[in-house]
Amino acid sequence: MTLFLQVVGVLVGVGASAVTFRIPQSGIIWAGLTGLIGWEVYTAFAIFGFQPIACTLLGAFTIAITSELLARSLKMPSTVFVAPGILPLVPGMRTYDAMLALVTENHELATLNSLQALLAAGGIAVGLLMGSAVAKAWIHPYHPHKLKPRPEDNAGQRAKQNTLLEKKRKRRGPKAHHHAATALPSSECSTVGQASSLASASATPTATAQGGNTTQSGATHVDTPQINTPQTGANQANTTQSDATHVDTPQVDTTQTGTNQTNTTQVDDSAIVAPDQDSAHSDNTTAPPKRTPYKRRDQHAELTTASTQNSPRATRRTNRRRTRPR
Amino acid sequence: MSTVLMSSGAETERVEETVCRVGEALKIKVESNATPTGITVAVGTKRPVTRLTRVKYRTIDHSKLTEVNNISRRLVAREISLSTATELVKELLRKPPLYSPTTIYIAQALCCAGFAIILGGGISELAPAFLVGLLARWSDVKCCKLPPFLSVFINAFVVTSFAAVCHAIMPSMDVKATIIAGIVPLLPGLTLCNAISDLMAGQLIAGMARTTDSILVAAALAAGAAVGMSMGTLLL
Repeated sequence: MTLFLQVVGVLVGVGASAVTFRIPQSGIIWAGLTGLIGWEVYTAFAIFGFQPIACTLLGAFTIAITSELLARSLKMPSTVFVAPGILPLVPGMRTYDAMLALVTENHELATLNSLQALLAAGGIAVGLLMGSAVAKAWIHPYHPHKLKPRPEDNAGQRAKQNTLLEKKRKRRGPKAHHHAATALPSSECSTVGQASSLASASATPTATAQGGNTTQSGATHVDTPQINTPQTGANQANTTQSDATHVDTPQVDTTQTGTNQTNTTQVDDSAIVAPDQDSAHSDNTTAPPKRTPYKRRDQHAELTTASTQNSPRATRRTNRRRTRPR
Repeated sequence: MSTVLMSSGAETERVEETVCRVGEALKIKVESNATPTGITVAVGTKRPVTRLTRVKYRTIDHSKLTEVNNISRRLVAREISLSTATELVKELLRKPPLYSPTTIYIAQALCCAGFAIILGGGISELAPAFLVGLLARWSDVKCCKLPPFLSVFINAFVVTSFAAVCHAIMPSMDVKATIIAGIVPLLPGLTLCNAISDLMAGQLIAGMARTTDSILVAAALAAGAAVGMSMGTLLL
């Protein structure tokens, strides 16, 4: 009877404190169960004759592991379950005794009790740490086979399909970049074809370098009616890219997709040199004050369009990676 | 988005990781530095655009935490675009709180009742603990304009003195269990948890700040309880 009452007490107490933490409705029961498991571990080890601090540590350890597992299966942060779950383990009795002893000026007892309460609190902290560390290290962040697959979750299958697709695409060669080639004059088509094949051959073009270079070149060539001749190198790939903002201008932006750091520096040099040539052609004033606003705008354009531009490739790349619920 | 995370009680590590993952998904180089009071995010490599956001309110709201987490995960998985995600976050900010104030009152009262049972109380402690919980929530709501330490102090004082009054009315009651049950929900357990996990994740500034915060709150709680208890012993 007492046990039943205690179980009900833990469930109700932890569940209700979960509500005060504003945990979503679907998580309340699970939070209560987490607290119950931790409390039962605590009492079980206490019955075996463990020290209270050790019991607290083990209970917190169990709570941490349980909540990490729940976080993975329910796709919620693990804090949602940990925060209410550890409340039954809080050394309230000891703290109360310490306070009472302080009030009645029994300082020896107060020191003893507060030290024990502090150690128990430390036990909770260490247990939580150990539990989450173990869970993060040894439990795989994602089990496609063990979990029931939801329609948005079967990343494993999609990854398999995507590898097949990529093999197909490699066989097809430069066709994937056909839309880029159409924007160019015919004399440059060959270089673009070569470049795109290079780009598809290189496994992961650094996305950041690509983004940075797009903005650089876009900033320098906004007003100029000049065609930048693409530089063809061994490990250098030039593809054209026409943004929505540059449709009217007859210029051609050069964007570079490469893996080397040297590539980026080369293009940056050309981008810096370019404004001087422009000022010779058209009566532009100094380039640097003009560059910043355009660059800002372009960067924002990049922010908004990056998710829609070349999305299939990027989707594959992100899907192949394991997604870990946080 | 990260402001929502931080102001609804997330760890610093989670905020930074979210920012980095979203940046990765959008293929931008993003650097972020988050502390409990502000978040700095730099976007871009050569000429970064830097934004600083100040976090004014820090409450505990796990539903918002979960929602933002879901949004960022969907964004990273490319199920939604950036504009949709921004819309979702704005909608989340406009949404009314998940639980009504009455629900939270009752929840805290039930929480106290439950803990009273765990801490060795019987049926006779249920009603006082329930009332203590209601009272604690009421004083918490009344004191929300005050600085947090003072409000916690008053809270603990109210709880302990009310338990002492209950004991005076009903001498068979276990005061100990009632007082502890009233105080346990006020403890800064979540802050301390976040502090420890921040420290272990290498977020030294945030971890130390949160540790100090939770220690101060605990000290205020203990002081309030001590004052209430000494008054209670005088009363008895």
